[in-house]
Amino acid sequence: MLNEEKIRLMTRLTVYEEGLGVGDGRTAEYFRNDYVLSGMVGSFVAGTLAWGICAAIYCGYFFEQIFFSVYENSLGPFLRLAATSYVSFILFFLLVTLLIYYRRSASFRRRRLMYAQDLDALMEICEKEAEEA
Amino acid sequence: MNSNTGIYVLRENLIQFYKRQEFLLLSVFRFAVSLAVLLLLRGHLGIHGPAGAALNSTLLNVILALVCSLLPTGFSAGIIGLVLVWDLYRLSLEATAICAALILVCLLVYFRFSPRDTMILLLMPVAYALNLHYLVPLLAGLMFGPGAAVAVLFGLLFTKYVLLVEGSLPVLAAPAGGLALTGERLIANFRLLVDGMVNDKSLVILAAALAAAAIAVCFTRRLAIEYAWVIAITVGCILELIILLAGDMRYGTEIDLAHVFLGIVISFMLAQIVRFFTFNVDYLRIENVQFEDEDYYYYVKAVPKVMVYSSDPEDDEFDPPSGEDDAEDYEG
Repeated sequence: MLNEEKIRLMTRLTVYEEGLGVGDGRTAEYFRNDYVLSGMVGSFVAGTLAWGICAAIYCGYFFEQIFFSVYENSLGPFLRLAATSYVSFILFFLLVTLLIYYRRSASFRRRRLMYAQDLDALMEICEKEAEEA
Repeated sequence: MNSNTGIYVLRENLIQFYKRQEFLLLSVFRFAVSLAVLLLLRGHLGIHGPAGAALNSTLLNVILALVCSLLPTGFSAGIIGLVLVWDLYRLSLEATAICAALILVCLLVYFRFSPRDTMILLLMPVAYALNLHYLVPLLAGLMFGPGAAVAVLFGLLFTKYVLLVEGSLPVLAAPAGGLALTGERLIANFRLLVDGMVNDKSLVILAAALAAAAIAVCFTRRLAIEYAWVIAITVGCILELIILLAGDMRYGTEIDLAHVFLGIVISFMLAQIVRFFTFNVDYLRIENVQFEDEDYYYYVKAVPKVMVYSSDPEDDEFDPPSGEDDAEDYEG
């Protein structure tokens, strides 16, 4: 005799475990702050590389001005622009990363809570079946 | 039987057909998009390269598109990106460097957060060729989050860049007559391409219009009002038109208004058709799972349920599916 509620629960649990649960399993290995921090470290590296690429394009475009600035020993304005742009971009990028990772963390917690509730419900059904047997 | 009932029956039949053949239909769709992008690249860049080049072969493009149809969308975009870089490399070193830089920035800044949006990147050049690029932000706003506006922008950027390179080929490929030094010529060509992108006011205005439309559509469809999706599409189209007209009046970009209007109207109609078929289909995919207990092995096909929106606040019906958020919620 098939217990439809049990099948429903087991299906939902399996769908989660084989889908979103794979990523959530990796996220569950971290405390929330560590998870967010790891994302921000990755974003710092990625953001720095992206800024570096854009800076290379900028330097290629203004190559002659930079070359003469080096020759005349007046690189100050370019260095100030580089520092300002880097700090502004990195701060903005890290802020966006923080928001994204906090949101992901909240979604993950909600899903894990529902998963735990479904597991409890399934365990109750199994215990009831065992008693009846 | 009236025509309204017939349309809903047709929709139901098509949805059931899609649910049964989801894998095949998605593969065919990815194949069609990949092939279209590859053929567009060949048509704009490949034909200017050395005659008889391997990537100009239709058979090779079909094979690449077949490979792309079987791989995840991110890998497909990667393959097409490599084809783009190779096509540019055969034409101009400066163009290759800028394109590679753009691809890397795109990956580092956006697609590490949202790899699912790469389909928008692939759809944009195809839509642009058909004058339907106004449709892409509408679909992005309906099916993804507000961050999809960034994917729309990158798609537009790559499309315009390819057109810019094609238009600049006579200068890029010219023999070094007036500029004796290779380095000087390199920098001059580099500046030509960067200026072509940065100083192109029509590109900036179009980018602003498409991004604003994608964000507006995304936020409007999440409102708890009746016909939210219809209103969202309408708002998106109107916003596109207003920004393009305002930009044209302000900066004198001399856009072809009839062309733009026709494109937006057709995009509106297509978006409504997509909404009609996808609104009631949950974005959770069909799942085939198997498990066992003490007595049975279970082979289960979980088919997403149709969700119905009700305007009655006391009604316990579901909210309309809102794309990314609901797709991520584990509600079963």
